Amino acid sequence: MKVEALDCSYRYRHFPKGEQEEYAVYDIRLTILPSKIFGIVGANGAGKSTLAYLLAGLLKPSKGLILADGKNIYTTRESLAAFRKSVALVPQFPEDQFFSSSICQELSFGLERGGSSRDEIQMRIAATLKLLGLEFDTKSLMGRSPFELGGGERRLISIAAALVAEPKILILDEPTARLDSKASQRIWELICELRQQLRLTIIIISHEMERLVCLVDWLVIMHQGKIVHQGTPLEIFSKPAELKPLGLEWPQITLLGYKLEQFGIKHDHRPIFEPQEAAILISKWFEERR
Amino acid sequence: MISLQRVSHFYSGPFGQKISALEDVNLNIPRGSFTAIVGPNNSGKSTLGQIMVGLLSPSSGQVLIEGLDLAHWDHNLLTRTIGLIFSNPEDQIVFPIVEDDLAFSLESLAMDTLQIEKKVADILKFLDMEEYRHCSIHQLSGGQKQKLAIAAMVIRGLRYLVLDEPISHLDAKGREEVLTLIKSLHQAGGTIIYLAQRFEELVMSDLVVALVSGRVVWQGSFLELLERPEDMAQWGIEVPPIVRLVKILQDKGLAVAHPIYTVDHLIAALEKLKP
Repeated sequence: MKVEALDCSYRYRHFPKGEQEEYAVYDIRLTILPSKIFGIVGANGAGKSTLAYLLAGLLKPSKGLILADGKNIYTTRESLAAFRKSVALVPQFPEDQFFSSSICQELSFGLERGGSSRDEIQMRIAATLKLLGLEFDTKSLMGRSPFELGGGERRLISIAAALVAEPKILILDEPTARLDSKASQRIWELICELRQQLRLTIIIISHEMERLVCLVDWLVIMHQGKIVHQGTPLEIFSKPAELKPLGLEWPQITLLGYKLEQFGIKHDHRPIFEPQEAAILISKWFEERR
Repeated sequence: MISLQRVSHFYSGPFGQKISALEDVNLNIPRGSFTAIVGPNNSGKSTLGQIMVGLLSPSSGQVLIEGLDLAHWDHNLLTRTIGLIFSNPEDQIVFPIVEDDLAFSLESLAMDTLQIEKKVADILKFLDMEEYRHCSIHQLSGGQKQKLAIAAMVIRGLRYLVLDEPISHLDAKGREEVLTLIKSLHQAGGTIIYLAQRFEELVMSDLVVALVSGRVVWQGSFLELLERPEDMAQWGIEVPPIVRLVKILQDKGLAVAHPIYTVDHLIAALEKLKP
């Protein structure tokens, strides 16, 4: 499924009287292509989460359109319901919203409401947990409370709760926030697996630029409610001067790449992202001069 | 000095079972030091932080602050000696207006109004947030909120500050602002105990303590930690790409020596090797 945001703006309406209502995002033009990974970056308050909610059909744009395969998702109640079924959004700190006393209930809640049969629910839960590599069999899972789990596992269960609905698009808002490096690593690996195995479209909002540049197909940079740059990581980091005023965290290795040019290790100004790439450039240069 | 002697702590689980959070922790934190405590999620860091400030009483063992058992400290005096900062500043900001929140911290110590006025003005100047004095909390950025939460704590004249992942809710700019504030508090003589999750938080530390499953598994300097990237990852710290790169270069036989954790450090180290 292809999703497009056409000149979308969104204004929150809960401001107290007298205070200016500002657009949280405006003039958003973005095309989400199937089976690709998108990264959305920007400072706090740049409008990243608002954009995610717009793309998930959870906020209706104040201006502009959200199209799914070319059709306005707000045409009818049914078209909106169908769209929402195909998109799953995992909000920030999703585990704060656990409400069931067992993981199984937590995972089956959405499907039960959607009218799936008991057998189908069981099957989908088992398949999802297998995909996530969680080592519970469904029976012991029935009894376990999500509150007994560690931070990393809780996060995985939240993602599982989104995946059991078999969405075509998965939106992850800060999927590794508050997790330690081991648990984060597991989430990043999972994202790669989801792309490979399910060919899911994944939209990731994250501050972890280091990770995103190595993972995403398309990077979207937001600043004060606007998309200021979008492109492949390679395209984006080929224009360092334009990125400077945005106060974004640069991937260390990319920055090193530029400094290596000045140092004398030339590589045609091509942005680099992986330590391995840098190691090859550096060691080759020193070997040639030994 | 804060001294933990054989501190263990158990929580009781839903079926009455004992869940161990800390086991036999011995730790000495000298006055004026910057101690970073690292460990993966659920390693017991937050429990340790809460025990140090007296929010939790350990199941067994002792916490001595300046030689006196925490259990015997006068509560009022204790809250002017040591304080804890949570990850989410909104968990500890109580008033809707900046100056009210700062003043409240002192009012609860029964300080007189004139003195409070002066202290609030001084600390806002120190924070470089004078123009926010009458602002509503929701007009502040995440970093400013956390600075305010820290200020409301240190305005009481604390000597020890325990910070529980204070930048984990912040963006890059907020993280830098808060780390700069913590650095200046340390330079002003404060003792910092920093429960850390990110590499950038460790850079200022004199001592790093690794906690795994409630036990202290390692103590050493930041420099020593740099030599152990594999352990660092095990202890929940994301190893910066530059540190990973240094390891690869060292394995390839290039004589780059630590401390190297920024791009500039590495370039300087390469300059030295330039033929």
